[in-house]
Amino acid sequence: MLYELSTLKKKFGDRVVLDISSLSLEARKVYALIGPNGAGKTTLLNHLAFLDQPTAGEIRFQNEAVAYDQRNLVQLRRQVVLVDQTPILFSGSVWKNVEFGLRVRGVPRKDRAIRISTALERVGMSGFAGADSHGLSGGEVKRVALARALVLEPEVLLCDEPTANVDQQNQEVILKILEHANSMQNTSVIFSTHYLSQSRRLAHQTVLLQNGALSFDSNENTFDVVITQERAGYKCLCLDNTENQRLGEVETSRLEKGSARIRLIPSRIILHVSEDSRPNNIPSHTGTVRKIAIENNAVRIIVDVGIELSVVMSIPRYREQPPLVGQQVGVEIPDKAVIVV
Amino acid sequence: MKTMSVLSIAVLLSILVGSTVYGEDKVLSMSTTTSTQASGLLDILLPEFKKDSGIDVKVIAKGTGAAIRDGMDGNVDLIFVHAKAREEAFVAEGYGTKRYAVMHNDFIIIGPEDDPAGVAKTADVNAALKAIAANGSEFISRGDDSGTHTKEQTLWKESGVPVMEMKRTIVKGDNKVDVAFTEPADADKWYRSIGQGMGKTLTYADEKRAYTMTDRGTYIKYKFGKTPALDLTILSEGSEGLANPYGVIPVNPDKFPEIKYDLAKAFAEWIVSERGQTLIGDYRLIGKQLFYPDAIPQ
Amino acid sequence: MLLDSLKSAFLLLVSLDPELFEIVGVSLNVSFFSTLAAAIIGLPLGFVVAFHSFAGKRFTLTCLNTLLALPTVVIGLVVYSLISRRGVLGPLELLYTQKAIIIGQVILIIPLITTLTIAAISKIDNRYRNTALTLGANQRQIAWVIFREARYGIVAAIIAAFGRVIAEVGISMMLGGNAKGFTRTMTTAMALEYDKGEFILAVALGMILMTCAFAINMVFHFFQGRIKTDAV
Repeated sequence: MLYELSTLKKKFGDRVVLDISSLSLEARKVYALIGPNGAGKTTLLNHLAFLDQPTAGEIRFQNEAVAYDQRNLVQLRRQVVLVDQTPILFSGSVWKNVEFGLRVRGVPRKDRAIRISTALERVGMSGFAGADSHGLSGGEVKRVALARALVLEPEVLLCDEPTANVDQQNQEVILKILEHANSMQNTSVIFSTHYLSQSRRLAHQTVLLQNGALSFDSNENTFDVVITQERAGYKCLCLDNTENQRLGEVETSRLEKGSARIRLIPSRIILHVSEDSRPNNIPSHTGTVRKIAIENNAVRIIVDVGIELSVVMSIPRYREQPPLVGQQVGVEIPDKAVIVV
Repeated sequence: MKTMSVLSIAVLLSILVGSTVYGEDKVLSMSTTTSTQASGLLDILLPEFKKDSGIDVKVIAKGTGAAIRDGMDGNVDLIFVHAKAREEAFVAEGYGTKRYAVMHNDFIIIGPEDDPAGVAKTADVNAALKAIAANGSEFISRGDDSGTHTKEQTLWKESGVPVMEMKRTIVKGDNKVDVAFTEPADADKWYRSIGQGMGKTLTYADEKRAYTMTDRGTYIKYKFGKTPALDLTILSEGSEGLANPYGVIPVNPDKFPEIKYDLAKAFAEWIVSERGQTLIGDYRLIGKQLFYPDAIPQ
Repeated sequence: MLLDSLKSAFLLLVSLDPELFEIVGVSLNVSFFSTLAAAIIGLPLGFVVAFHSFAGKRFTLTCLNTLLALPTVVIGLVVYSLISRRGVLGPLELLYTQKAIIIGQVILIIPLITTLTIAAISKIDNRYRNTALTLGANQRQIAWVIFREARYGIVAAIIAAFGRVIAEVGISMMLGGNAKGFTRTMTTAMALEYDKGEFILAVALGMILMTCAFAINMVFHFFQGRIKTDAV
């Protein structure tokens, strides 16, 4: 395992900003960290970069517990590089910036030159080698910062919001750079993002943070859909590009016709376990229960309705009518369960 | 804006009110030398003068050069200094009306007890200075253009020790003027010109175990009136050349009409009167007579 | 009188007045070495205080800020009492030497250099430190990064300190003693000419002092420009 975090806690004063009971990240994969602002993404990245020390708990890196003494930390940090959300370049030329990490590692001058040119070429900034770093645009700064990190051929590349505050064109370039680092150089990439599309496109796995704690796979119940007006009053949600994969019909004025990305909130989806409790007047689906798990005072049930939906019920409600794996159940998606992402 | 004007009025008022304290008619401004003030004589004379005449005297103590300068600029009504040649020039140039010879005290040559140059064995001050120069013993000069410094330069010239004249040319009005001073020819080896007051020069010489020339009054204060006492001793005294005459000169009202000439004249005449002269002759510093009246010999 | 002083200052300069050059030389020499010594002590001190959080840091900062207001006479008195012939360090015979002035001036400007260094470093974005850390720098290399980024502030601190000592008169007078050719600096020479009533000469010296200070600032700015150009 690349990273194993257990009972990790970080407090700033009395405020708990990170509380992760357990998280394992594998080497050579791309992970996306998702969560709202203030969820603890940056704090988590700082811990993974060994820039911050947890208040309690343990981080294991490459199967060894991290010891927080200066000498050891410098060694660890030399395998992991974090690129900031708004990276800062040292005053001096672009070349000197990219050279910095190699210099502190004592890489001989002639080896440096080749590696720096390659890295600058990789991010498409070769023409800027001699430029003053303080005269670059936001997107260029990000690319130089990536080159400065990649030139070190790190074991792990951590990126905080790599595409934030960057124009469309630079976003594409940056995503390609990350992809390339992972596929061609076997670098493990962990990045945080606001864009679900990026996480889906790039990441092998997604980690969702909420209030400093892990949520389940944040891709759960998130779908690109086409909304069509059908029967009077109801709108039809169809899975992207597959008109016949009908997700449901909801009565909501918040939805416009057209394409959208929606998320169905697991705790607001209603399961009708017994046949007779299913109301006739409300459109609903039939699905098969695939998986049942108990977590945090609630029960998570995965139901296959053509696609897999995650549903959360309270424990008392579950006790009333417990569904069984393999059972056919009715699934009702009320208006309030639908959020447009 | 309003606050500003209120403030500025307040500032103006306070300046006016503050200055009226000295704005009364019966205040005489006198510039004198720091050594005169340090001798303590004025603390005896001025209250008596006030008793006799009702005139307050405001004393501004500076080096002789600056004190004379204050007179030349009309900043004061009267000067009370000890540099006879310069005082006479002051009168001759029309800055002052008349020099009143008031009193004299004397200068002494002092140095460390072990006396490496053998000054104590010399007959007079000329021989004393020659001995110091010949031995190359450190000598501290006030070098501040004061009366004492003026005296010291004269003594070096008269002693027969080779001297050199240093000049600096400056511009005053349309004329080029030389500011000159004299020091022994091989000064940079043993002669230190420190440009400070008498007291400072004494402590400096004490620190350096060096010779220096001082007026007797300041020496007595530092030797007998101070802890730790000055560790230097008198090695040459009594030569004629060591006498130090004091004079007072009222500033010329023709040059500066705002001068309180009446008050200045009253003070000058009072100090050379029998009353003033007796007070001077009776003055004792730590049991020792410092000043000898010159106007009415006793 | 100002015009006279200006002419006199010019005259002194063109006549290459040896005494004048001696005085300027003593001033520059003493100021240079006291600034150098204070920088050698004050810069690392500023780094240590700025970088570490420790118990009593706030107290240390308050102390340093208070020391900024330390009058030169107080420093002069304390050092005098230590190095005078009757003082603890009397046998070293330091009093009335240039070394004595340097000692006093170093004490005067260490708080200045230290606080200005702390201020310059505190202004540096914390991301510089974190960026250097994540790129694998050790403590020494980080200090160098911060030093580079804060260099304008640090150079400004040194200029300020130099300006303070070259214009300072209390310590030079008390500890140097204004001995001609040995410890007479521009400021003590001016004080002396004032005492002598030679205002024209005093102001002329003042003008030369200002010219010197101006020239030195120009040199510093020139170097700052060089640093900037080098970096590109």
